[in-house]
Amino acid sequence: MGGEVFGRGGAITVDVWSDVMCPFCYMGDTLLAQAVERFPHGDAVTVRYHSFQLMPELSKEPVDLVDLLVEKRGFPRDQVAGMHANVTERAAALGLDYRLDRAVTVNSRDAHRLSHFAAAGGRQNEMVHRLFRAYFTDGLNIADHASLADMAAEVGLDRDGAMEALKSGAFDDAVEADLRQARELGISGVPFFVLNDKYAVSGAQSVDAFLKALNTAWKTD
Amino acid sequence: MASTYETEEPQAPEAPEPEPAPLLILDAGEAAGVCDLDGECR
Repeated sequence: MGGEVFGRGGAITVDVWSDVMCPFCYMGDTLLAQAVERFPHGDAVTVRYHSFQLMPELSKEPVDLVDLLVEKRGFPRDQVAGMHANVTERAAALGLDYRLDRAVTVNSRDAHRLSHFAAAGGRQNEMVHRLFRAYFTDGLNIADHASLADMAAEVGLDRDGAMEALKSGAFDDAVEADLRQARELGISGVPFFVLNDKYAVSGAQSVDAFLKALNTAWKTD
Repeated sequence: MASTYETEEPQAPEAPEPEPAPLLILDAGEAAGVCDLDGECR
């Protein structure tokens, strides 16, 4: 029946490029999830996560986010405070508890490798959500291997296996492939959503915008 | 003694990979949050 209403119908794959430290990615992912919940064919939607690194030049040594934005990016300190208040308020409206004062800003490459490790174990969605919460709410270090392995265990993955993957550099090629594909697709900012390799949605759009995109993909693919 | 020669199957030239179709951006006309490579979010 849904096919009659929406057209041809079929499976929808949403490929999401995002970074664990991107405030709008966590929001965008939440908005997409709400749209899928409301979409009459939500069961036909598969979400896959791809790596995109903000500030890839960062090391694994934590830096203070406010200091980074002030000293390296040249933002006035009060403007940063205003931006953070605005982002925190927008996140709260979606039920997300942003604690940017606690954020441990580091290179996110290892967190991305863990996301791919989780994908291989069928738990990528849970892993990505745990990583977002780790950075934005819990103030955990997403470059610390012990913390990452603990989070992997929390979502049902083998802790030792995760630790081994992190130590060995596994899945770095998968991260690199995602970054390359992002460049090929011309993605310059995240979150970025691609539906069925055909339609794209850029940014943390509204639930209605995501619903419209899902309907478009459903009708035409 | 007759010499033997290895012969190679003639190979068809590799077809170039097709260019992926460009993505159709669904613009909701709304201001949406995006963060770029430099970490700037707007």
